[in-house]
Amino acid sequence: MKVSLKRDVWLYLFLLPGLSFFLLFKYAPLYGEILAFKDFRIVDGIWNSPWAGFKHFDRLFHDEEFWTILRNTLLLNLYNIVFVFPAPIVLALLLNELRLAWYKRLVQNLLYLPNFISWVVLGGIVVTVLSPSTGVVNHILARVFGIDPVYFMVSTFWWPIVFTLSSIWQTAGWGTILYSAAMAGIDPGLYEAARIDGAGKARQIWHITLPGIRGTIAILLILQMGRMMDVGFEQVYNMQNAAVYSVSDVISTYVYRIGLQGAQYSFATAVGLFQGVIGLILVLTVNQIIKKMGEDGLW
Amino acid sequence: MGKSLRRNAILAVLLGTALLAGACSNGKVTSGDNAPQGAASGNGTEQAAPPQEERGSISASIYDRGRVPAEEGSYADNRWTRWMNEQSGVDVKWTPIPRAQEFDKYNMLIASGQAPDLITSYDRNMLSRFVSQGVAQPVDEYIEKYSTSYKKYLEEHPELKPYLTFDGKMYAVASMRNTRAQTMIWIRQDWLDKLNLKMPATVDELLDVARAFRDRDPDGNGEKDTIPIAMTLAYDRIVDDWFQARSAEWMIEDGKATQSFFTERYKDSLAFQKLAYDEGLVDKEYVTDRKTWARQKQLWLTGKSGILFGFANTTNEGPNAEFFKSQPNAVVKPVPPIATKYGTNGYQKEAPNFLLTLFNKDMKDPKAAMKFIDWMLDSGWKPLTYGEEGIHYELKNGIPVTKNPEKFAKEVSYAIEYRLVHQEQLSAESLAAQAGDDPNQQKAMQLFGEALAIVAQTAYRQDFPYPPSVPEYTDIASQFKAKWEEIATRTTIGGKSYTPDRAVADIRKEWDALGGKNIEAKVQQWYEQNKESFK
Repeated sequence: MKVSLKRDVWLYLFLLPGLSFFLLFKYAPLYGEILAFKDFRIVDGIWNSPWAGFKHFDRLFHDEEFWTILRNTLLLNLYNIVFVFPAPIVLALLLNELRLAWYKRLVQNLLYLPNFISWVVLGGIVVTVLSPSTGVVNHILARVFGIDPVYFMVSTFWWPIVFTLSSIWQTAGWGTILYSAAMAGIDPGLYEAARIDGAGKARQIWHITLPGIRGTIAILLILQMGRMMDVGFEQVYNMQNAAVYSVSDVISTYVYRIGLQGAQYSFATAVGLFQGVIGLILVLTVNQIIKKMGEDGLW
Repeated sequence: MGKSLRRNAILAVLLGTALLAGACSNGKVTSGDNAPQGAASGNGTEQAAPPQEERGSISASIYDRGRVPAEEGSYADNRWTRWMNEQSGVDVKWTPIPRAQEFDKYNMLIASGQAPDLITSYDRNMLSRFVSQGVAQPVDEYIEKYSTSYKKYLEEHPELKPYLTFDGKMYAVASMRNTRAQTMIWIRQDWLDKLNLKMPATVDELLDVARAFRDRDPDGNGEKDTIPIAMTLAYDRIVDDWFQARSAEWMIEDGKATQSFFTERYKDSLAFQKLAYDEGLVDKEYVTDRKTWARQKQLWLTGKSGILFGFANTTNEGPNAEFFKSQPNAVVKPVPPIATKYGTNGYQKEAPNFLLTLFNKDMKDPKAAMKFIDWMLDSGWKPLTYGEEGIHYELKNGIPVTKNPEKFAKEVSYAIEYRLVHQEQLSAESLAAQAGDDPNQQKAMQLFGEALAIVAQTAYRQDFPYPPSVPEYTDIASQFKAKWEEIATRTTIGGKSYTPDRAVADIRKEWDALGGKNIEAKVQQWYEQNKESFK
């Protein structure tokens, strides 16, 4: 220990900026979490505000609205895991089979592009594309299938579906790149051996490619589980409208409304803390499960 | 080994991006906060020329509406901030407050102890929360001690006092608005004439006119493509106001403080909105247009709509110069207040006060603040409104007339925001004179003037001059808003099964769940305590 510290003293020094970043911006703000147990008054500051015990948590668990919001958050994330999470795996598998290098690069870039566009813009595009009068989707529905225009964005049935599809659109490209990178690392000898043994494409994918990226899938899944209680504020805020609050309000919009617009900092902090603790538990659990399944897990 | 290496590489990439994202967002926040301070300290006290008399120094908030052109500088530093420092003898450090997020921004500044000395806002509700949390200090004593002009002005305008008073003490500084007009319905008179219709005076007549616009091709393009009514933010407000039931406002019904939703009249407002939607008198897709209003603006500007539920002020929207440029043959008129079975309620009148300004309790130099306010009220507001004489305007019969609208728009129009207090009064004459030579601009200003006259004619019902300062209510107001907005929207677009009766029952349920009964009692109490000061 001592020896390695002495030997690698420069390496440890290089580590300092990164460490201090985390201490300063990720750990120090945790101090603010005590707000959840206080009655915050803006002029008294965090420490001098009076203690409130578990009052805010009590209110949280007795707030009917909160359960609706928790349900929405969990449902949207469930759709996310079931539909959005596998999308980049499928795309990466498809791309992996492409032999035309320039075409592969082109498709990859096109898929990746929405990742750079903010939800303000993407939300506007979604609304326009799905407009009953001028949107291309309804146009096709009417022309090809003779279906009456549907006002997707104000329907409590369609909204979660649109939301999930738009998530795929925005995030799939990024995941595809990660999986493609993992696939590139698979030993080509394995494929050769499989071909000699007479395995077709499907067999190769099943027995070589998928096992080859298992570790990556596991890690991304764990990270995804950590976000189970968290639906991005921007995406919801830019896609929601007054007709679908009941299915689109999630914890982040709830905290925004109560904490920032309603100025009830302590209560909003309690919500955030609750959300964080559940997220941590989920990550730990899934990490354990994945380790039991023989993968490495996060730690 | 190979596997874990690969795994680590991917982890590293993920971490790297997370770090980058974190660093970027942090960078953004700090630079946004520091830039104005840095810019301001550049021309701050240390560098200023040796003063003849003692120069004061204060900080103040300024609404950031993103209207300062890049070549003019920023809200914190531009020709007008420098000019004010020079002229007023007080160095002011401006803290920009994004107009749409003032609440978030102020809360952040106050919580971190960086709030400016002068906290200025239109939102009395928010300021009253600041006062009750001890952010501000009373101003009476400072006015008495340091002010001359503003003190005199207050004596001349005693009607301001209730609006400046919080918890029985005067906490705010404000002057009168240049006009109290707000909402307005505009109609295409040329379409009325063409279809031989008369100006609607009741709700039913307005519906008939709208139906005629829809069915009888008023624009003469041979297609049935007119959507009679174009909306703005003002649409539901105007309809609510016809029925004296503005959403979420407090009313006194039979001596009892009641939310507007629980009056019979609110159901009529909802019924109208529903009918207009079902019959295609408004855009079927307005719900998803409510963030940008882009479709509605287009409907009005391209002459696809003939009735606009908008605002009296035609400077930026409604029948403005841009509209007359694209619809040169249009003749537009303001619609006089519409009658319902409950009588005729006038258009909304804003509170008489202009911006409210609080004094931060940590303010170092209240004398300088009062000096700045006096200077602004005496002479400072004029150039900030009209620009420089000879360059931006010329005086004709004592009324400043804009010389070059484009130059004015770029160099002066943003400066109006800096007027904490002012003595401008709008009238049909002053508006017409200001319009300059552009005929389209003249038309727009002429209409603004006509709208002012219409607003002044009829009284507007407002039982509470400002929202009650009852914390139990302000705490849940935004949560409640999300509820009633959704219910009202669903009712409007939801077809037969969503009746106004059902909507009100649903709103009642949400209201009770948020502790409505208790809040009503508290508001009643507040009303009894304060009603003397309202009249």
